[in-house]
Amino acid sequence: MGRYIESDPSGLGGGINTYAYAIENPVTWSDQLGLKPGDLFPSSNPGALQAAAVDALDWIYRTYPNTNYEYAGTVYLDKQGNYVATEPKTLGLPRQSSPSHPPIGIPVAALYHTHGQCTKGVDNDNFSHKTRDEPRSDKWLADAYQVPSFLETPVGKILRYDFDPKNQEGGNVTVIRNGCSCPN
Amino acid sequence: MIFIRKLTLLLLLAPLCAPRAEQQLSLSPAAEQHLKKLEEPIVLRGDYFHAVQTAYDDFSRVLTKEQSEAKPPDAEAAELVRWSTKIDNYDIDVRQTKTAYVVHFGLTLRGNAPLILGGGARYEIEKGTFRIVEKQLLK
Repeated sequence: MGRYIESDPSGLGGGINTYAYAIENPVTWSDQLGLKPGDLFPSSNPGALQAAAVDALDWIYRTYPNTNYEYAGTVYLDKQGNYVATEPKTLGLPRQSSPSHPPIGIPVAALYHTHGQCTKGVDNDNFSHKTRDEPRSDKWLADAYQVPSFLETPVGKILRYDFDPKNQEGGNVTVIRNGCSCPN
Repeated sequence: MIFIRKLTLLLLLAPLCAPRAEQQLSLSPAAEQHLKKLEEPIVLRGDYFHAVQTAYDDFSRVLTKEQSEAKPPDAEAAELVRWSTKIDNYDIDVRQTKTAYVVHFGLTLRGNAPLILGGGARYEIEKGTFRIVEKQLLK
């Protein structure tokens, strides 16, 4: 599949050196391989927000490779200027998720979620819905809160959605990592 | 009469006791405007209502099945599952093409709505016969 070839996704955005972090936080650091959400991505590095989200998304599929439940979380900027992904939550549902939140008082910088496994009769490969006029959806929610949203599909594709007030189709979707589509 | 009551509940009432996740996001002005529109009285065409009714009945069954099969890991998730599989907590959009009505369901942001991603559905209902000709559940 190619999804798990990369060693540490934190490298995508210049995530903080894990060894240095372990020295500074010997008690709390439990992610020796740099895989668990919560890695620190200095906001001074370009792409740090996205890297934090990708790190968390990959961790989900690595940790729960066969689950058909959605998982979701958020990314926030900590007081030290690092982007951090919260540990994802699941509702135990295949089509819905409710993201974990940052510590109280810290605003959400981005949303992220997965789409479980390929399911027949379900749009597995895209943010829902297609246009902003339609009722609440992944896109609509990101628009409403004016934060980017990241999605990893069951076949390893990662999409990013960005709010664009001028685009009536509901903003821009960028493919961050290519992948196949689920079979119909 | 039953249908009118159902529609009124669906479109006009905000859930007052719904659980809400730790909410640290604020809605955009456009979203606030959208919510205000949901509180306005509506005039609904009979054929639109018929199409909505068809989709509503089917989507209700989908949600009931999903709720019965859900495996929430804790009490908070269980409460969110109950909320997100209750059809009254969805907003409905209906419009038409030349041959069909298109009915969308999406979880509402009304009232004390929790932050939930996904979960909607899109139906195409054939004009004249009011049969479901296309159905897509959304994640």
